[in-house]
Amino acid sequence: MTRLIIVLSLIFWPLSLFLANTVGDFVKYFFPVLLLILSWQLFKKNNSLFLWPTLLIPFFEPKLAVLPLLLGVMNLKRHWLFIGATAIVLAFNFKAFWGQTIFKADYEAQQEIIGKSYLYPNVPLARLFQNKGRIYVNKFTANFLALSDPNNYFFGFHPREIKVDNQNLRKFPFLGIMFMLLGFYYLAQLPQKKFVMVLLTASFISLTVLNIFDRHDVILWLPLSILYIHGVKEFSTKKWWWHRLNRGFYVVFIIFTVWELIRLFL
Amino acid sequence: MIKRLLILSILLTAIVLAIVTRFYKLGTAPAGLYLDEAGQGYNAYSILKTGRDEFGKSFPFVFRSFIDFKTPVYVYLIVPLIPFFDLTPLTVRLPSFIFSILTLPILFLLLRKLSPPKLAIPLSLLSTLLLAISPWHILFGRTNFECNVALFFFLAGVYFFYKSLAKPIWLIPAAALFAVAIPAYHSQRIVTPAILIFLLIRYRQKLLAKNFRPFLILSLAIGLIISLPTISIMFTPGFLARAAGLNIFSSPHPAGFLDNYHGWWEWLVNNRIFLSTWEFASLYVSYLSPRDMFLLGDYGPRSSFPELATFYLWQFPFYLYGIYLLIKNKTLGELRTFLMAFLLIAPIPAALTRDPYSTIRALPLVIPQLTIIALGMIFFWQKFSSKLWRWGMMIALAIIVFYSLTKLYSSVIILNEFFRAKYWDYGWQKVVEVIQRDLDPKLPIVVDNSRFEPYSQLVFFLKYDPLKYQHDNYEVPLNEYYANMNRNRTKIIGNIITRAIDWEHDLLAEQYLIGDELSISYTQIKEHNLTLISEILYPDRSVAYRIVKIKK
Repeated sequence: MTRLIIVLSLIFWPLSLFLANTVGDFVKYFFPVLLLILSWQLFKKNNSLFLWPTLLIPFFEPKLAVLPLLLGVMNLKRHWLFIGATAIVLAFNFKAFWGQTIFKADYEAQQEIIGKSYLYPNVPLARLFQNKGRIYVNKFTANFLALSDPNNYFFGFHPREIKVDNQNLRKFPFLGIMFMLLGFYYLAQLPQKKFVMVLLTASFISLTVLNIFDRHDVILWLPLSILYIHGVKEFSTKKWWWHRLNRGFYVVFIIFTVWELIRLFL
Repeated sequence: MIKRLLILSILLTAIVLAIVTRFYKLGTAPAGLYLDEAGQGYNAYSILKTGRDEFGKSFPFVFRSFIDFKTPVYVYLIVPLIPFFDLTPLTVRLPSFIFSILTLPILFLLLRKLSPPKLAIPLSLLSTLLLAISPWHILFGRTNFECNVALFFFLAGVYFFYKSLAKPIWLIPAAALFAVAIPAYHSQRIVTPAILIFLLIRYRQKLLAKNFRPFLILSLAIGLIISLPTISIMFTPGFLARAAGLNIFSSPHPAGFLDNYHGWWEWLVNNRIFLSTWEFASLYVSYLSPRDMFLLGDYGPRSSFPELATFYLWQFPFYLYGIYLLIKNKTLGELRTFLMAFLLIAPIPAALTRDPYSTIRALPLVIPQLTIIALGMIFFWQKFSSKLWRWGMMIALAIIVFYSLTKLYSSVIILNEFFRAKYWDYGWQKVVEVIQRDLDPKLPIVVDNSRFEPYSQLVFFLKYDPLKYQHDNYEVPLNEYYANMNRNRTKIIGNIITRAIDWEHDLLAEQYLIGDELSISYTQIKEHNLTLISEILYPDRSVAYRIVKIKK
């Protein structure tokens, strides 16, 4: 039953992405995930070249140009050659990357800041709260908190969907929040925890600096899925005081997940 | 002795901060007086003058008002203040302010009781300080919202309960306070009983011990007696009106209902049980979501300040750390157990209603979440033993608190006044001033109510005679006060009548018309040859209301 639960849960996000986009777009967004999976497989086999497949990501999606660099820098064993290569790749794709980030000039936001600054009784107060730096901070914060919002992953941002530039995709079945929390709680016992945390953090940062991270955030599918599976295993093996109710929960979970999956198609 | 003085001075600093942030421009910021605030204030005035509410009901157990059946505690708290402060926006917001301040020492005492000895003083002091500058708590301490008062009674009840574990006589005030908390606000009808059940189960052995039993029985009796008025109406449509109207199960088409799907699987796809469960889960989780807590805040313009969420962004990392500690650190003892129970129970009533992240209904959640943040801050502090680091962190905290206070000023006083005045029904006080000063009292006045309900603000600012109002405005028979859901939107206030403007018939008589920019546009003024008497503007210079005269 746990295998069924894992399969039903993990197909959610890719299926949701596939159904909401054209085949071409789906391939474009999902291909980096395949490269990350390859990287992970190499890591599990202790292959020292495990980071190199990620070097191809910026060629398929310049928006994610900074991801391989972050992976290289954050990895505990320094792969200096790889870091050098990623820096070159980033420089090569820099223009395309920079134009898609939150650091691109936003005329509308600037005008709003100027308008609000006239409301303040003095210039220092106006400058403290209404300044251009705030535009970048606000965008960064909005992205960061959206990416760390559990409603994003389990409810498609419901009840506070992002109205513009976001498909509000359902990523995991909502009852799976239990498994995800367990996965994080027992993170210390995950064999590949270093890879997962580095990938999660690097992906997070590279998405947070984008103007529109929607659909590119599918790169989080791999690390979150590993954590999710870990949570499912912990749930099934730990002897909680309620462990006799596990089977009942599985049945309820499967019923609700099938219901959610059917609705994905409609 | 010095330690005691230090603790007292920090606590006093927190209380002074709380007073400053809540009392500064109390009554004038937010500008305007929302219709519910005016309604409660006028009902309190009516109770004071006549012993009856605006509909003539003697000392009601819930206030019919706009058939939303407002909880009674707040209204009755306003009554004794009117003789001292008159019927003004300050008066109707004063109970919120008072109980908001009183919540601080109660929180301090409660956390000091619950926490392990080494943590007790720093945690209780820091939590109190954070509550003093909490945007969430400040908003409801500056405006007429019952949730604030209910929170005080609830927390006080919890505190005296824990006190009673050492001395059973304290069960009596605990019971009384819980019994008052329940009718004080709608969400407390769920939170208080749920926490009570949790506490009673947890301490059942102690409470059922021989020396406790007499006090337990007496407390239950006192609680029951205080709750009798509430119990007597708890199955009436009036008592259940708010819950019935707003809950996620009452909508014919729950959220996520697919209107366009009529296929084979409709019974499953649009199944109410699945949809409601999903909806509840999404709403529940949103109350614990950092995005709502630290970025979005409440979606309602009256339940939030511009550019300010329910918590400050700098508190986010401490919140995460605090959650981690709460889960992992079993040495936190009773604090851990109570906080976890409180954290999990507090969002339930709010999650049962349709509005996303309603801070008014989830106000009790501010306590466990702030305490978790304080926990994170203290344990972070403890990681650094060097004096230099610690001094540095103290200075950083002082700067952060100062920044937070200026941010509050920016959002609450400057931006809120400019951008949110219309949501607080700004302008009716000025309308009444014009009516009293410039309009002929012999001529009728028609106040348009097609898009808003102005009568409560009109009677409030006019300080209209409640006896006369009760006489002229019939709604339902008094024996159907809690059951009959009919509503009469036309109100008579002397020569003023609130109803929709009838552009066909109203032009035939010499009278005044009052309405917003949509009701009385410049085109209509020109077309019907009306005389513009006055225009009341919002702070952003857009038109709030127009007063025109129809010439004979």
